[in-house]
Amino acid sequence: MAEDVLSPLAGKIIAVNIEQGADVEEDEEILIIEAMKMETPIYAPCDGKVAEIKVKEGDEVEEDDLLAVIE
Amino acid sequence: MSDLKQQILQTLLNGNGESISGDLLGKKLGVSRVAVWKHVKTLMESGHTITSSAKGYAMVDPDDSLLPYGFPKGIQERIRYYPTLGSTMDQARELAQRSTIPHMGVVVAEEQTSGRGRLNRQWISSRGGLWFTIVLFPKIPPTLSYIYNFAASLSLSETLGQLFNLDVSVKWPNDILAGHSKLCGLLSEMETRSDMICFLIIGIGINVNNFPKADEPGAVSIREILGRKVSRRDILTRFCDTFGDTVKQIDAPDFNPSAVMHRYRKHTSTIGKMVRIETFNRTDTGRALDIDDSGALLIETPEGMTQKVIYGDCFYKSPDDPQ
Repeated sequence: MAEDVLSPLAGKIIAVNIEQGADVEEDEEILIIEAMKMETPIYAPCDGKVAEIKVKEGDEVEEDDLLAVIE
Repeated sequence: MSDLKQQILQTLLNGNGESISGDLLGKKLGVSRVAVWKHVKTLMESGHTITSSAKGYAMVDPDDSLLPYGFPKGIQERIRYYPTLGSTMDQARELAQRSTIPHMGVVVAEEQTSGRGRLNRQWISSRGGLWFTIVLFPKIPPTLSYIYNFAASLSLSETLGQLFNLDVSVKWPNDILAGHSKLCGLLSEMETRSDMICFLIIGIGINVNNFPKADEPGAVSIREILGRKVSRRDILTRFCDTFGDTVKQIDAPDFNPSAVMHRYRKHTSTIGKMVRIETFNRTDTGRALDIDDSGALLIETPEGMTQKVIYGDCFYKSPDDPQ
């Protein structure tokens, strides 16, 4: 089963803490988005493996953009 | 902290800076003079500003004290005071995660040993400044969360203007300037889970009675501007009232962001300025045209295009800067 990680708001990716294929635990901080001096950490929704990372540092994202897939 | 230590702090605070003898303190609290001394010593070691003389013990600058008991009722219950902390943001996050702090709770420290700005930049926070983090448990969607930051910076600008008649303005999005110097900085963090905000913490640093120039040449403190010390407790009290009123509006069911942004636009000095926007992989320049209701800065690029900015550091360009 795969879980999509979506962006909760528009902003810029300022940190990517995961690599493709890496194991992650639920609630592990995987990315940080920044907009207007507010940092929003994104957490893994479940235990699993990083199947896809759709963004890199410096990318601009919109609300509901797909950031990563955990399976 | 033990009840006895709290009572000692409270008694000294009420002493208005006058010395109170160990004997008298002991009698009031029902313990020996030696016990009082031991507790006072521990309090001093943990960073409380108490002096000890032949006449007894006294609190240094009680009007400036950030101890909860000194704040009006309604605020004191929400203050979490620490003589020293790594960072008020880290402490606030922990309290928020454990839900042991209320909506509009304030974590405040005399000094931070590892205070940080955005992107983990170091933020110098020496004694004399006002370093605190406000904790919010908002009921609005994450996309609207920016409104609290704008509400906080406009409330700060109003607070400092009203209390000290200071000529302050907000530089987009959330810095407070006095003239061209930085008086306050603000940053925030939001925790979300599936389209809901778990909590939002807003960290605010105000240069009050400290001398920030040695560490940050572009900074200034209220003491440096006014030439006298002022009460950090008065600032935090007024800010909690002003920001609290605005948060009540935001939390109301019929809230419209344009009400807050309209007020914000009256406090910003960014609109009309030539600005440089730096993010870590690009720099944009242009004239700031407006700040819209979503908090975005609209700039007119040298090519005449309108560009919408929602992140990055904003700098005002001076006329002699290279184009």
